[in-house]
Amino acid sequence: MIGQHILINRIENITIDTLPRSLILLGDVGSGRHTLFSLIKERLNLPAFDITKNISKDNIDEIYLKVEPILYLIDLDNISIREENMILKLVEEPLKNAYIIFIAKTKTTILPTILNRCQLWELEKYSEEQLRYFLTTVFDNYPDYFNLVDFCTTPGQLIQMQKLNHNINDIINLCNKMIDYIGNARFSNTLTLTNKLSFDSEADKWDYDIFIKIFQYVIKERIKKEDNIKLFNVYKVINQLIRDSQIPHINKKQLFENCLFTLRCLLR
Amino acid sequence: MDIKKLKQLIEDKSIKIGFMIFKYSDNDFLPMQYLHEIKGILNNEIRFIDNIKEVLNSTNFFFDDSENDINVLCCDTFSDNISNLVNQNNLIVICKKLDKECENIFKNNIIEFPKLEDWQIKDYVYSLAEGVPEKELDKLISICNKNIYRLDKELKKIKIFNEQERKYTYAKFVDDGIFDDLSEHNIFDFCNAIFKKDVQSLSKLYAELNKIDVEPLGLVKLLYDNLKVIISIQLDPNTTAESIGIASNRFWAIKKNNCGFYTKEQLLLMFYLVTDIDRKLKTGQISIDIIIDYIITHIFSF
Repeated sequence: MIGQHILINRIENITIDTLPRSLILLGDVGSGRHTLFSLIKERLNLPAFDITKNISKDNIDEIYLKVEPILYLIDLDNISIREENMILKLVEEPLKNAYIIFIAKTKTTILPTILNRCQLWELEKYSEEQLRYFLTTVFDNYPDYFNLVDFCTTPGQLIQMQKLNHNINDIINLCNKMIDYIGNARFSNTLTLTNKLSFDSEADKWDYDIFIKIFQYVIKERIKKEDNIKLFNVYKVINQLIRDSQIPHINKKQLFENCLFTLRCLLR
Repeated sequence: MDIKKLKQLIEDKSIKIGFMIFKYSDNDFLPMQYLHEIKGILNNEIRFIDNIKEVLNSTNFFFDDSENDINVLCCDTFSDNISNLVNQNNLIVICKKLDKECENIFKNNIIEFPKLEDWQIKDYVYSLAEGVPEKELDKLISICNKNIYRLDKELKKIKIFNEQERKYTYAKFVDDGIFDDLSEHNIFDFCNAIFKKDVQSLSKLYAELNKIDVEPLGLVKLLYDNLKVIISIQLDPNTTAESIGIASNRFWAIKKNNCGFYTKEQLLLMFYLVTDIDRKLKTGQISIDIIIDYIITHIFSF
């Protein structure tokens, strides 16, 4: 694992008595939150379960019946508000035999009632040098991937992008085509663009979050080359889209379709 | 056998079940009533079956008590033209239609149940709620839209009281709105009224909103799904059913019934509105309890 020396050092000195009963690992996707969870598990030699997809009243009641200490991982970005309220009880009345470790991207996605009852461990942001160094350690032909650092902020995202690498040029071409032709595209064609994107970990489609980052990058490059006020307006719209996509539990597909129609209008 | 003879046999308590087909025209309410009367007379249990073969292939065990059960098959169309069914005992088929062969083979086993007339529905309602003024019961029949199942269900609430109490109990139920939560409309009617810009229908539906099952986010989703299709069809003359991934009959139905009520600009404004509601909701700009009012007022202001 590169970086995160402070947290790794903290974990190496942790014991079963000093580990907080409820803890939030805060960092972007691919920043190493799961890796840190695994390190805690190995350090304390405890069984560990990811219960993100199994949150129910029955499962929570079962946790109360466990005798041996167990680590539980919950991804707060992938549970509903109702499920967050269900796990509130675990956080309010900590159990002797359960250590709850939450992972989240930002504080804004966390219920204040959970946030206030947990210790917060924030992962450090990665510098460009760290990311390039990561590339040299992981990939043999790492110079080919140096441009990925423009789109990624974490090592995990780099790995994900590397899997797409043969598609990155396709994505960049599509983004350029969108800029050039969406103003005159038919409405039905415009709406079919969403079919190429994955909004919910669907296989064989481009990840939505990666796509909009690449789109933002393409717009920036075009603005540098072309003196076109429309492109600057498009850039503002894409920035707003990226910000709105961070809203907890937002319907990203509808956001994107709304954005596509706005782009169509702007670039007409 | 005709229905009058069957009724006579039931009243005389001399009915014997061989193989009978109860053929109804609009609903199975009356056949089921007769079935329960027969059950009461013969003191046998009713066993609903999914397939005739369950009766034909049944093995008699020493301790099988189901021999005397009345086997009942309910289906829309009966087409098991197995001729030795006529020799079966305790078998009743309740169906709306029979295929031609079955009509021929079993012509002596068919009992036709006519459609319930309005006066029969009234008589039935009056008989169940004796003590309640007929004028009040006529209003109930109107609220339930002469739906015999609904009426039966609503009158069960009154039937348990004795005749002297029924009048006041019924009046209390009416005051408490016990009979008010009935509506034939649903979320799709609401959605259609919006798309056709049918202000009259929409205002009636809006008045009944508490009785209709309209979940605000469900309405948004329905509007969104339909709007996408309408935009693709109305604003792109060359669109085909295949290009937008819908069945061709649905494509033509939408083209005929839902396109043309709004201009291009209005459709686009509606699309922006509907796709932005989720964001406004999640950022606290609007609350869920005003979403329906928000959508209607905005759409009709475009």
